[in-house]
Amino acid sequence: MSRIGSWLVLSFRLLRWEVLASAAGVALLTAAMLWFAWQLRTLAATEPACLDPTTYVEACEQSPQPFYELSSRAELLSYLGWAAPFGMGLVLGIPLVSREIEQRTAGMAWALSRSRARWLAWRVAFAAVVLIVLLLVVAIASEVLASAQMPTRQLDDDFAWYGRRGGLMVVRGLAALGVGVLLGAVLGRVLPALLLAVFASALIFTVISLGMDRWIETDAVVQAFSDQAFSGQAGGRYLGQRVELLSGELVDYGDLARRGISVEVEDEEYRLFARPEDVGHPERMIGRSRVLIVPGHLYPQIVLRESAVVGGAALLLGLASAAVVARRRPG
Amino acid sequence: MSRRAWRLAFKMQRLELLLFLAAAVLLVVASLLIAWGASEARAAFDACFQASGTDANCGTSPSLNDFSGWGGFARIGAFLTPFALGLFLGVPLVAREIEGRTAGIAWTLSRSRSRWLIQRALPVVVIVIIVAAAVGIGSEFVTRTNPFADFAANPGFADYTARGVMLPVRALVVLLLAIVVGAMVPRQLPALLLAGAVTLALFVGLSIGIDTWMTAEAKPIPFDESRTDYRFGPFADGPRIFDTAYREDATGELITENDFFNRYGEDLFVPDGGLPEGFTQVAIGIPGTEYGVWVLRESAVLGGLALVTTGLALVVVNRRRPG
Repeated sequence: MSRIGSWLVLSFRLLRWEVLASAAGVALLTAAMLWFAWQLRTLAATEPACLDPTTYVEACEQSPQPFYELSSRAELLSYLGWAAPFGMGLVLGIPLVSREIEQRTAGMAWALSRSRARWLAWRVAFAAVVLIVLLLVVAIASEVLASAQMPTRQLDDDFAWYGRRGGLMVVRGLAALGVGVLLGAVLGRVLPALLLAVFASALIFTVISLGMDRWIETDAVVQAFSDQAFSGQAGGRYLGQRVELLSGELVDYGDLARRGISVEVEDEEYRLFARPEDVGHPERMIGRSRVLIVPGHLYPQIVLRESAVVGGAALLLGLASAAVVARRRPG
Repeated sequence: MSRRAWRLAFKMQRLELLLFLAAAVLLVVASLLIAWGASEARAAFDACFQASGTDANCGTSPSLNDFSGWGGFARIGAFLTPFALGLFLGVPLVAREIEGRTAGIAWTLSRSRSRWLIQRALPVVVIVIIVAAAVGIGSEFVTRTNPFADFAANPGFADYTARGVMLPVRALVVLLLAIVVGAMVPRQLPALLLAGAVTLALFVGLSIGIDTWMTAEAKPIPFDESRTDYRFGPFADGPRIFDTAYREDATGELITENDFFNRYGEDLFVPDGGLPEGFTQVAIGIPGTEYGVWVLRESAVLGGLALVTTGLALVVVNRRRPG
């Protein structure tokens, strides 16, 4: 058997249960996503004119109901797709080093290898290849489902289902793999490492998400409030509602509450007042309702940006793992 | 049980126990702080509202919304606690011994495998119950000081699965289930995934079963007319609501909302949206005063399950090969 073949067979044997469990999960999820996509496309083909939520068609009062009911169930699958990179990354990454240490085989494995870094690289490479292949399947299935669920939207320029479709899922999985490998190497015990990795992943990805949200605000534009903007139907990424005060300052509702300013009424022109009796008195207006939106055409740029950040984090985690493995005792 | 057995049980899972203890302490302290802060903020808001007759300029800092949000996070943590404790402490109890090939020696050195299992499991059972109970108490405070409800006296079914007695009961069942799965599947991580799937299926089934049982025993609950400010909920005692209906005042007949509109259309509704004359709107559900009864019922079901899984664990450990 060739060296590559030996590497594949040995690596698979060491991670057999985890690879099979991940593959089974991906197979089930993908099958469900494709089934829902097929059902949605079939329903959409019967009344294509009824599915544009921005256009009212009188004849379409009842007909899109089955489509939208199926659509909301399909959206639940997209959340499973969102969780898949984190779950699979940790399940494949944690046992790579920690199981060897826990079972006291690390000493022999590291001694037989030319270097610990080389040993780690070969082990992580297998897990990364498996993860990339499986997550690509999920990412593609998510895109198919998304386009079936939103047939009237141009998803290449649309923030709909952000993080739940496309290449970003693969990069997130690699970062989760890095977290798993690092914590597995540090703790040397499978289950404690998994426990800590869940918290660490939540923390790391929350920090990245908050940081990206701050960064993305620099690309946002302030628009007049509208139902379309609020629901994201125009393809933009809705960042939140704001209040434009009379002074021109833009604040959020939390800031208003902290300043002790209460808003009870909003009129048809989205002007805000403290009391119902103030409506019709422009001088008593508190401000106007606004929304913060990132335009849809920036979607590819934002995905690339976040992929770079998350990919950089994955690289750092990998390097940290190599440093830990190089220095730690095998037992 | 000797002190040595307790010390050994602690040493075998020292890292997990320390992590959970630290997390539980953080969660309980956070819950108590949130409850205290929410209570103070709500009291300040109520005083301002009573003095001015309006909620304009009665905002607090942090706001009631902030406390509601933080309370939500605390409740999620409390809800997940039994599952996390049970799975991560139960699975490695036997699975780690088998995976590490130390089960054979351990079982040989013990008088019997059953005795070995009980000596290993009992300390963990006690710790899990104490930790889950502490988190349950903290979460109880968060529920009773919900800034958008009046649950101080009786929260009823509010946050039913995330506070109080249900947490240690659930934690115990999940722990025993995880021990069984860990004894059957000789690798920790796969056993954890399988135990997680089994636990999910079990509790989804239990939730559906309890809901069906409750629906069958649901009764009409009138809306509390004295509660004029519905921002803080239309009920004072946290009932579990399944539906709303209209009761004909003259005959006492209950008509569901769908049947009501089919029978009378919208003609009976007054123009300003008030209740139709001759009818009272009621909720169909279980009154909050019956919370204790239902906790007892669900605990009995889970207790029966705990006994079955204990028996199963003993059978599996006694019969399986140590390697």
